[in-house]
Amino acid sequence: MFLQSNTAIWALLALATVVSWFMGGDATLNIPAVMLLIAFFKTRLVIIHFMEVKHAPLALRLAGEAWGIICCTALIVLYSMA
Amino acid sequence: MSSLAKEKHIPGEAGIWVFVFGDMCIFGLFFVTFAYYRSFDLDLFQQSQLQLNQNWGALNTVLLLTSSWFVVMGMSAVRKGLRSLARKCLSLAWLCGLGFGIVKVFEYGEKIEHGITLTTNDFFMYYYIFTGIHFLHLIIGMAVLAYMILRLRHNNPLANDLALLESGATYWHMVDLLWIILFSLLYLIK
Repeated sequence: MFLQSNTAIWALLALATVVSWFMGGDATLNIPAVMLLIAFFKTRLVIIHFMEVKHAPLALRLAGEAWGIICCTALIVLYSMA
Repeated sequence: MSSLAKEKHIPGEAGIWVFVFGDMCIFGLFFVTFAYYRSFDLDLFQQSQLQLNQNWGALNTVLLLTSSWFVVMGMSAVRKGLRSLARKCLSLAWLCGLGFGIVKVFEYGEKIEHGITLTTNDFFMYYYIFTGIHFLHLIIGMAVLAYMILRLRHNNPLANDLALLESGATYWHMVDLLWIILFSLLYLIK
């Protein structure tokens, strides 16, 4: 079960990579906010599942979530200002 | 799955998390710095970005994601006491890391051959500095993986080595997640 669920996470990460790669090459689909949300969704999957933060104390989980939310928000604001 | 993994516990040594979050915050500042200066010269950044090969970036992303997956499978094997399987998984993760390194060296060579260096413009300055620092992390990570593989060759009780192995795995996943954002910012987002 453990292996199966992490294999599903890997497949989801690979799929998200292919989708963002395709969107990156298309002028109409390459929307910075959407691309950034996909990228930080991927890092969240890595932090929660691969780094096993889902089994860690709450403080570690909050730190991981805070990093993603702060970085993603700051980048979306800066990209929308450009 | 062992009961150990089900309990609320910090994977690896607590100190590795201080280091990992510190490193992630430094890279967070790198990302924001890049986005801030990009907003002052959008045309230059967009034109320069066109000279990067998205296919190499995507290939490297998949290589690191796959290496992370092998590390997850390796740690699962460690917890089940399957020393040989754990060693094989970590060796495959190391090979994926090597593949990333080869692609990156090839990519740097291609750019330098076309006269694109650190001093070409601001975009390429950030490209070389950020990917260079990440490359350094990759080399350290590969040395850590090699050490983990060597530890698994000895017959030390796995429970004694668990925190050390989890710390190494945590570091390797950080190398993966930092590249995910670098790939998006440098190669993809216009």
